[in-house]
Amino acid sequence: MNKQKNMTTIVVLSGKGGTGKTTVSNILIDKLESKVFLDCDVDAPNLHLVQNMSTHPIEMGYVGLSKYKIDLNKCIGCGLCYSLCAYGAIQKIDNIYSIDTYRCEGCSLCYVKCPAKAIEEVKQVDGHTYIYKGKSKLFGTAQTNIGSGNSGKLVTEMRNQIQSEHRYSKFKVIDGPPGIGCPVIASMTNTNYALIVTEPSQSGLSDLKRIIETATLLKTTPLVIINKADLNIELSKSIQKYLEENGIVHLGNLPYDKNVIAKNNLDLYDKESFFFKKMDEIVYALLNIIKANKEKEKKNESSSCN
Amino acid sequence: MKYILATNDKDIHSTISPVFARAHYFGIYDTETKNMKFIENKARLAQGGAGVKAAQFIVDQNIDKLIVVRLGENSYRVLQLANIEILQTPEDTLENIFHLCESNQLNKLDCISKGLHHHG
Amino acid sequence: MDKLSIAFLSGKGGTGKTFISTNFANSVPNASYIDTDVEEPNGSIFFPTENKTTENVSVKIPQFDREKCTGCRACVDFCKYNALIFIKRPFLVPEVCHSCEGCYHVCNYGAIKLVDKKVGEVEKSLCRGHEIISGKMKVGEMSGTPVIKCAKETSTKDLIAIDCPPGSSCLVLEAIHDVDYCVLVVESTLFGFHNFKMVYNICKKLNKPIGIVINKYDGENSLIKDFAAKYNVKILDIFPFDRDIAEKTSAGNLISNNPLYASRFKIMYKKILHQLHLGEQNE
Repeated sequence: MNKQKNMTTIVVLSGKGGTGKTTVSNILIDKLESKVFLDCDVDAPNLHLVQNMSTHPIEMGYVGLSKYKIDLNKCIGCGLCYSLCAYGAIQKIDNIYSIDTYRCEGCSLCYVKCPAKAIEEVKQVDGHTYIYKGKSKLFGTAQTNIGSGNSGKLVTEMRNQIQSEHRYSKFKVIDGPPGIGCPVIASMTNTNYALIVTEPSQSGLSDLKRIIETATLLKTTPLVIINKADLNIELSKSIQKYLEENGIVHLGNLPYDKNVIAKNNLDLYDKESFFFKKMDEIVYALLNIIKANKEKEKKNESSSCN
Repeated sequence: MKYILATNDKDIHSTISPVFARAHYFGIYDTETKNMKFIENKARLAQGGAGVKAAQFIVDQNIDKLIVVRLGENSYRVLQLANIEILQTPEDTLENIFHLCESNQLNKLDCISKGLHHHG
Repeated sequence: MDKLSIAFLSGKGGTGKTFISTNFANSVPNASYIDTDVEEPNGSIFFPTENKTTENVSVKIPQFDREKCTGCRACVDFCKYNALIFIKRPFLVPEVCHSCEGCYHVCNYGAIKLVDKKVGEVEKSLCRGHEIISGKMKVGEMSGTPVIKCAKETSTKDLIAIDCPPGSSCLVLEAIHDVDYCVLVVESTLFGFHNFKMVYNICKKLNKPIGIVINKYDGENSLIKDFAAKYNVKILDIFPFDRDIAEKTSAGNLISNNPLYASRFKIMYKKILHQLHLGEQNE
């Protein structure tokens, strides 16, 4: 139990998609020799494609909030449900009512109010978690079903399953989802560092600000990497300036590398490349920061607030 | 004096659940009768707002103090509103925890943790 | 002509949905560009605009009338999201409220009133005859679907280009809800192909006509091309891996300001119309 407290959890995020989260996570897992790692991008998971786990995963369906369906044999066509649904999930086509499963959010109002008791509850499997229990490594990933509004829940469920294994790893790496919504928040809670991978574009900068805001809200230390930095040196410099002015740690820059983008698989990368050298420097800087913070914590250990 | 806490086994020798809202049971200990009662936690299977639902359950019991290892923000706010006293304990067996309670060795909860899922 | 709405989606983030959809809207006359990536909207940055208007997007949350409330707890018992608590009287936990308005309908004593809660904004501006619309969700809010709905309703043009959120969540479904055509923007990488199949299945399930644009093509990886050939899916265009395009785009420029590129996007539009058996207006 105590050992769990010595684990450092790093979540890799981006705000904007496609900046290189999974690529960085993949390399980080390798360089930090992380034994416990997760892919929390449950809407579009990719990490399992490049992590070669030798065991089969334990798959579990995750049952979400039930949805509802109209039994046309009992429906009297009064249209009450149609007028009540706040999500516009009830459709009326040629005087026949039906529920759009993708729009239904499971509030049950139609079910409760239907005068003919013509609405039935339908259990929903929102997604699946996949836990790979290797001899030395523990890997969790998950996939939501189409139209799921429960990505955040699935992330939480998967994180709970990983945690209940009580496996120790000095560094726990989480490949995070894009955006700033529910699944991002669920992947960010109870982590020590948020490694934000951004890129020098107008869109990248505005998204960076939003993700930093979210990290600060959740009390996770943001550290920023500017990927594809040479694509726009001016903008990279202004991002660095923004970070400096706001006291956010700039971990380093990575170059735009066509091969890294095209290949995805660690084994196919050129380890002598400039990209990899820069990645080494970044990991080195990261480890120094973690070490320095741990020493600070030891000194401050008077109040036990965890 | 009645205490309540979250646990995953119906046994006074088992450990307190480190997670409040999604534990399997709540255990209520009465210091006068020295009796322990276990009730299933319905909030465990809640889709969202498990912390809220678990806290509501606590509010509806007739207890004096809640004992937790840690507590999430949603639960905390509901319990605060209802003026329920919350004590903090390290992870330990139920038996040991009640001893500590009775000898007034447990402190009030002084900080809230961001739970594993912030939104319902 | 009837309204025509075209959604640009990808599954994986960063494949170039915004790159393709902004340039597409810029190249065809009288179009709306709608950015429905409400968590991280960034398409409007490409258009120099004027006359910006902002509209608030709100949902309803309950407010309780203490005098009328009898303490029956019907509202608390009804709420599937556990957003209502009862401590001598009902209280709302706004963070988990889904704005279903159900508690209001379930109260038999008229003790609940519905009030507005702001969840985001929709910005609209004009650029050279195009409507540029952006939906933005408030950080920490429950759901982005109301913002997406509102953004789509804001358009007054007959041709709408919808820039979708990444992934396959309820946000994406809301964005493509009633569109006429789906352009799948794909990267020909392992990750890109994997996530492409996901959105392809969604579009097929919803019976949407589909076309593919392959972006950042390296000339080698033929996963997508093989898939398209096998399943008879139309490839609308292929953009090669081009550092020049990447640099210009990262600087916030639309490559379709160059007439050579604009004509490529016009051809894309024609191909879509042809696939839908529609004639072209405004020629």
